[in-house]
Amino acid sequence: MERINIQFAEHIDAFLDRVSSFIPHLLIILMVLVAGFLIAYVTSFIVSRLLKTFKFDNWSDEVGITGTLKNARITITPTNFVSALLFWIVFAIFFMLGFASLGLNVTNTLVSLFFLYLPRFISAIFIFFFGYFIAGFLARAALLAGVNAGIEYSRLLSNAIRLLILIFVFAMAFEQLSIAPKIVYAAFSIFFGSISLALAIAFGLGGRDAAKRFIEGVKKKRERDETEPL
Amino acid sequence: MRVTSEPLSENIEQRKAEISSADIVVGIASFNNARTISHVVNAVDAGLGKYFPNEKAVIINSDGGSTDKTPDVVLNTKADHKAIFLSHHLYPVNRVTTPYHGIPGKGSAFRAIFELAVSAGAKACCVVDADLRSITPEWIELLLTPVYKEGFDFVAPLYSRHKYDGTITNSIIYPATRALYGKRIRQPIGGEFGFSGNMAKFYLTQDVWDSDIARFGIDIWMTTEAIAGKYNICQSYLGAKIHDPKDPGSDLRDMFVQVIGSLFSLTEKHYREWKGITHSSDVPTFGFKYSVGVVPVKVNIERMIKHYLVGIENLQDVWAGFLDREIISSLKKISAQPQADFRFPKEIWIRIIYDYFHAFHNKKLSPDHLIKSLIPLYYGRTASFCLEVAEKTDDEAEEEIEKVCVEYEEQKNYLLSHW
Repeated sequence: MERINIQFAEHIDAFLDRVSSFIPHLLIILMVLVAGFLIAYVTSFIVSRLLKTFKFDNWSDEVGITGTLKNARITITPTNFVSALLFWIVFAIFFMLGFASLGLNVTNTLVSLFFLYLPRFISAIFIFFFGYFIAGFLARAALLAGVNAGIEYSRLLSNAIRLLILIFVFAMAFEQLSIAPKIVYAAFSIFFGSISLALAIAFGLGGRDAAKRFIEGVKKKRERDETEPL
Repeated sequence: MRVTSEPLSENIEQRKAEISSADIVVGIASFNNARTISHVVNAVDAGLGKYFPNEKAVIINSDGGSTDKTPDVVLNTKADHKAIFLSHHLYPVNRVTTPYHGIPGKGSAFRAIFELAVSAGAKACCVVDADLRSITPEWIELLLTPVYKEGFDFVAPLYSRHKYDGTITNSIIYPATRALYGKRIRQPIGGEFGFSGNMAKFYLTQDVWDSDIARFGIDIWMTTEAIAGKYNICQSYLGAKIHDPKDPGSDLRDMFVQVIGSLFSLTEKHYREWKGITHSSDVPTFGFKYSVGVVPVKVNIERMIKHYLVGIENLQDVWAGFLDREIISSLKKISAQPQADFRFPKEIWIRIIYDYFHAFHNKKLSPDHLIKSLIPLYYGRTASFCLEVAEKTDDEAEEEIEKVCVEYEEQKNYLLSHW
């Protein structure tokens, strides 16, 4: 019984030792989180002010970012959206820094992976947003050009252009995030290859008669040139 | 306001040296106008000889790189005015021709003319189109005399035109300029203008030569700057303007985008000048108004309505970004009308134009996309106007345009309240 008591007391002591050694880590994590929250808040506030000063919302209206956000059911302004995104990125960085203060092998590995992945994640976000903007802009340009040329199915053409560019953008973003890059690469190649093949076949079938006439014309001209010397 | 620092081309510098001084400068902007420019040069030469025999005058041809030897035609046109002159001209009228540099377009051609006019110290200048068939020596008198003898700074042209001619002017440019700035200048983008040396100097110092103003936007820009700058302005009745008439349904897209883009950006720039103006007034008009036959303009109403319908089918999502739902629903109702009864009411049209002003001001779309999205609506309104006045005379059609102008003025409060 005495032995049990001794062992129990040893375990309690060990537990209390671990708790007491963990509490400073916890306090550090909490301090880092509070600091991270404040820095993230201040950063997003400053960026928000700067964006408002430079009329980012107006520019977003003009280039179609506002419309894109609305389509995605995001009701906040582009300025608030960018500020919020920045807040969470900064806060996540501090969270991981706090996590790293535990000094455990597992957490160190996780934190290293996070920081290695972070630039790719940020690049993917940029690729996605700029790609989405470019897709919208070019689709609208095609729509207006089609309408003013009197093409009745201009919207269909415009949507097709938007879709093609978005597929390209998603493929680039996924490749950047290293999410199943081989599958993305293969799917992308197959998709664009199929479209090119379909267009080539359609063009070939549609232009068969024209091509035939053209070749016959060239052939006749050559024969005439051969038989009618200058 | 700044003086442009871009170096002048060597050619223009040479021409400056050739023209040491001149009282009067007449500019002709050209591009492949060999067929018609000889008549224009002859008329200008005769006008200068007849009405300004004692003044030193220069005719400047600013050419955009014609491949049909237009400059040679200008220099070699023989002016024989014995039949119309009682006295001899004191000085021979010099003619110079120079290629212009910068963005290809009428605006860049005018810039070269302004430069030479300012350098020569001209007191009065005018510019005329190179494709005019109806120009007479009297046009030169009517464009220059108000400046040279009456002290005006800017003379806009006033023409008799066919009821289907000048539809961009009639449906947007004239009524909008009149409602905004309060001056009834009937042809703000007429093409022929008279202006003082001071006015030319002012134009030259503006930093606009890399924008649409260097293209088709030059006419509306010259007129608006003269009005907004509180210069002394008037208009001169020149009779009929006969040149190569254009079907409003034909491809005028580039011109439309450049002219409307310039109108929108000038409205943005001159907010302080137009916000307080509540009504319009006539400007002094020179010249004797007479009845004159005009060349009928053929229009393809069916094609214009088709363009409108294609717009309705495809552009509703784009319009939804800056037009009210009720307006879009009215546009849909209009599209359901049979062709013979197709009517696009002026009230809706003007409300749309003001919404476009707001959309441009609030940067709802890129300027190019915004203006291109207006083209199908312009075709719809033009088709409607052509049908409305089909059985009317030119004068009766003018009365309809007057009603449109009044409506623009009445709805101006809407423009201001949503600015």
